Amino acid sequence: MSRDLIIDPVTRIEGHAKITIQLDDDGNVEDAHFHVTQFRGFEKICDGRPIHEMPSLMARICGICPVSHLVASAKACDEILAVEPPPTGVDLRRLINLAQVAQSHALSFFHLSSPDLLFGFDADADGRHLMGVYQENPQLARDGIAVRRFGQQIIESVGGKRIHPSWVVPGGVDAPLTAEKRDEILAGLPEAKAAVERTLDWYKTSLVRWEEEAAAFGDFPTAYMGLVSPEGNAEYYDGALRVMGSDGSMLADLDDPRPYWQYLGEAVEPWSFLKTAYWKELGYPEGVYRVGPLARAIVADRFGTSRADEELEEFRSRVGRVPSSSFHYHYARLIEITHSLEMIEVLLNREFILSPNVRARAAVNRREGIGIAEAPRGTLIHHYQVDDQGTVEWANLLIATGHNNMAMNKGVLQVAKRYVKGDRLEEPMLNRVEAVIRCYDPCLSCSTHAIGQMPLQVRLVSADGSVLHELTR
Amino acid sequence: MKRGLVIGYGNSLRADDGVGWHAAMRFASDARFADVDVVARQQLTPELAVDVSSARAVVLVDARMSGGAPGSIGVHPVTPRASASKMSHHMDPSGLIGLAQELYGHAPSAWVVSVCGESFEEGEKLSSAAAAALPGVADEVARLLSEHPNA
Repeated sequence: MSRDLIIDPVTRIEGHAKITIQLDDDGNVEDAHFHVTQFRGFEKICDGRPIHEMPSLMARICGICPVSHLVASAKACDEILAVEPPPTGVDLRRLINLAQVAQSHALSFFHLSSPDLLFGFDADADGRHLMGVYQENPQLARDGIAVRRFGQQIIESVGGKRIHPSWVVPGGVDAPLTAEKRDEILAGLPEAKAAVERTLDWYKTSLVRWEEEAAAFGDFPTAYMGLVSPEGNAEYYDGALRVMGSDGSMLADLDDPRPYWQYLGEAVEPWSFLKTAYWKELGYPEGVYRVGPLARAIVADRFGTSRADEELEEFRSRVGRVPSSSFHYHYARLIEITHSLEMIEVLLNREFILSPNVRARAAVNRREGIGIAEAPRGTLIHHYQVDDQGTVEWANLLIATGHNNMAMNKGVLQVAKRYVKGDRLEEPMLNRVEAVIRCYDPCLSCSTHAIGQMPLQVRLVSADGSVLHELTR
Repeated sequence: MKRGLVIGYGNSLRADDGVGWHAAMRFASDARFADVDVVARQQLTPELAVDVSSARAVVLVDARMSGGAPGSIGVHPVTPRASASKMSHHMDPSGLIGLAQELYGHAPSAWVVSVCGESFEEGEKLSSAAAAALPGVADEVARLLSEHPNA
């Protein structure tokens, strides 16, 4: 008799999901699925909206990475207006997106994943949480708070709001940067940098503790995808889309990645509201690829800033040029925070960063636009079609978590096969099944607030639907 | 160390749940709060502990769901509590002040000024009862900060 183990909801991720682990007649794990159980319908919400509303509307997709959606959407709108934003407008868009990367990565690493990393995956859930980190390692806690706060302050300072700023607009940004704000951000950089340095040291010292997990946490060969600059540096705003195979071979280096339908397929499964993207050349479901911090650290030749490149070199010497374990997302995330802070400093010191010329204005000049940018979790693709008046007639969104969907499912299956034994659910197994998902920092939607507790409910269900075993924490 | 910090918080898309947020926005143009840091937030988060720890006194403005007629204003002191919530999404005033003590070594005197809400449905507008309470909320916050200048 086959049975299902269900983890519902998955905790310490951004959004709502559950995991089902299917057992065969002998009690061995046969299959596993990561279900996204919330439905948002943003592509349909866009229908009939005027194009100038799109960036702000799209920012509402997420409460954690609204800026990245704002940027990708504004780029799609630039195409529809047929405008090229002024160079300072582009630099300011880059600035706020990098602040987004820093604060979102800090949330993922410190708030969501550090309890597992500090206490271990076998630790009691009663103490293995954010508040436990505050008590056990206050310096780590202070550093996490400092980095996230710094990124949030930049977004609030330049964008006007900490969440869902509307400063990024079609054609550029809505207002220039003031000297006062620039100096304020520059003054905060040393503390934020020092906090990341301490955390990197702590993480690298602790890395040996997790060798077993690293070998089982989504450790399988896939392709990786991310934006790169013409020089081969990791890119977050624009550039070529590079896809690298698991053996390090170059599958694609697309100078113009906008016709994404030529190389990416989109599949829908009945058990999840999250659509699945796949690399067309390899087909479905074989065309698995990963995006996000680990992918960017792999596909790029370098980051292009000194400290991040030193860390990238060490990263590659420790885990290889094309590491296959999803566990190393954590490591790559910390290096990306370092790079983001360095790039923010570079941008703020550019000669024309205070230029008043930050926005190009135009009417609707094209019926279609595609915007591609990197969000903290990976590549975003926004594609809109409008009528002559600029009313949206059709929209398609490919988000980072959709790119990673197949890899997350493979990761859950791998961890379940290794740690699920018999028909009883044990805490350390549950922890690891959830933790492999957290490596990807999936962003299923944070725009709604959780009300009350978010218990972890796990059900063991027989083939006839009766509940054999249930755990709640 | 700054004289005071006012944190108005709540979901401004849930009618009266956002009364604290609306109050904080209103304080920006109130001369009584010229030398006070005023922040408006959707919710309390650990990052606020930094600001809390550097203030002499903190007043949090929030909505409450019961305990009086709609629009009634309540004031109560906050007792710092060691970290209790497992999730940063569920931080309460006691946990925030306690976190400031735990991580940054200073827990200022703190109070919650609450307004009993009437509607918590979707919507950006306050009920008439909650909106009418805003001047009284400002008076209470100003009074607390002036009565405890060196708290």
